[in-house]
Amino acid sequence: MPEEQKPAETGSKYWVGLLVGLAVGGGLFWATMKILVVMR
Amino acid sequence: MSQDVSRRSFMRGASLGVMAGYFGAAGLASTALYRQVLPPEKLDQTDIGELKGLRIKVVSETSWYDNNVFLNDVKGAGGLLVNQYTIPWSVEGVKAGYKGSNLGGFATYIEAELLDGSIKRILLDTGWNPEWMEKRFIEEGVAEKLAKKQIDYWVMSHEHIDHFFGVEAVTKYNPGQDVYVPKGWYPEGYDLLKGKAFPKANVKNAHPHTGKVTVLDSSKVNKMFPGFALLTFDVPIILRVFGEQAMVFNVKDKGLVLVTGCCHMGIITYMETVRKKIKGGEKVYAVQGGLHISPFEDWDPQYDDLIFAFNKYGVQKIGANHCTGFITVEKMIAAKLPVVKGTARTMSKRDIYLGNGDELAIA
Repeated sequence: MPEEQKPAETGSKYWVGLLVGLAVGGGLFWATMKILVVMR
Repeated sequence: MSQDVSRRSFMRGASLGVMAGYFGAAGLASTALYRQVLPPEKLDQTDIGELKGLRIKVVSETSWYDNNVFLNDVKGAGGLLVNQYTIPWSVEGVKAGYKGSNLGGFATYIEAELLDGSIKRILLDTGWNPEWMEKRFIEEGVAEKLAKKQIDYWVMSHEHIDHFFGVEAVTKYNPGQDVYVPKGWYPEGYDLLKGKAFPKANVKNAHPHTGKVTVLDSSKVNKMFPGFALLTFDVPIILRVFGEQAMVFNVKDKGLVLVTGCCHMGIITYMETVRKKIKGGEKVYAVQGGLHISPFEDWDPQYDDLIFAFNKYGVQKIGANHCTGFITVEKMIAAKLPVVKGTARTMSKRDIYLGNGDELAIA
């Protein structure tokens, strides 16, 4: 492992990705539901 | 290289997050946040007014006396979809029957007291065996009221044998009595009303009806007088019958009282329709009549849902009888539902529900 690759930094990116993913996933579901309700 | 690893970590987190976010949102949307996701239900409720009180008298709930004989009549004729006017129903030699006939009938007499103190009188159905029905109409004073033209009108819940074939027991006392029927009757029904006989089915009407016949359909709530409405259901029924209507009363300080003939549309459909169409329908105070759950005393686990449904609507009195079935009532009692007991007299077999001559009074 190169010196500049720090485990803490890698971990923080993971958590940022998780939060972004949660928002995107939740928004995706929300949008799908809204479209389905409108199309009903 | 460092950036590659960071990006990979980000993507790992993001892919897990998208899945968790999607399914998490689905979970929240179907539970805690479902009101934010689904649009509010639009109820088209009609205000039917109020009554001061209501008396519901069971004239006859014993439609036939021996289930096996009835079922053999149906099987012998070809099954449950055969035209009821062509089936040779057993009218003699039945040990459990009335004078040897397996035929009984269903009819209910109702007195509604309006807020101004006046009384409206309604007959629901005419039963099957004219001899038995005439006896019961005389015993309950209905025949006298028919003859004196004191009954405002007669309502036919549906065209079935046990609710209609005893028509001459009513028209004998007042052939001009106005009647409301649900849309969907077959020509034979109107012919029988007018006096035609169907010898194969052992049914006749020696006293042709001369009153007004009003056909009601399911397009709207049919308000009859303040505190009373009829709901019609487009429902196909065994023995080649179509359409059924049921009653909704609203008693002041009590709530809605549902009175049914046979409830072929299903008790949940009935209560759901009331919830959607009648003001105050979110709660039902009482249900009376045939609920059509286990008429032949069979049971399927899915019927349990029908038992549980009563709690959802807050029903405080269940005056069940007729095609509800004894098994159903036993299960209702076991589930601690408020079943009103009867007296098991005048040919009604058990006292666990309202039988012939029993009354449900609400005031």
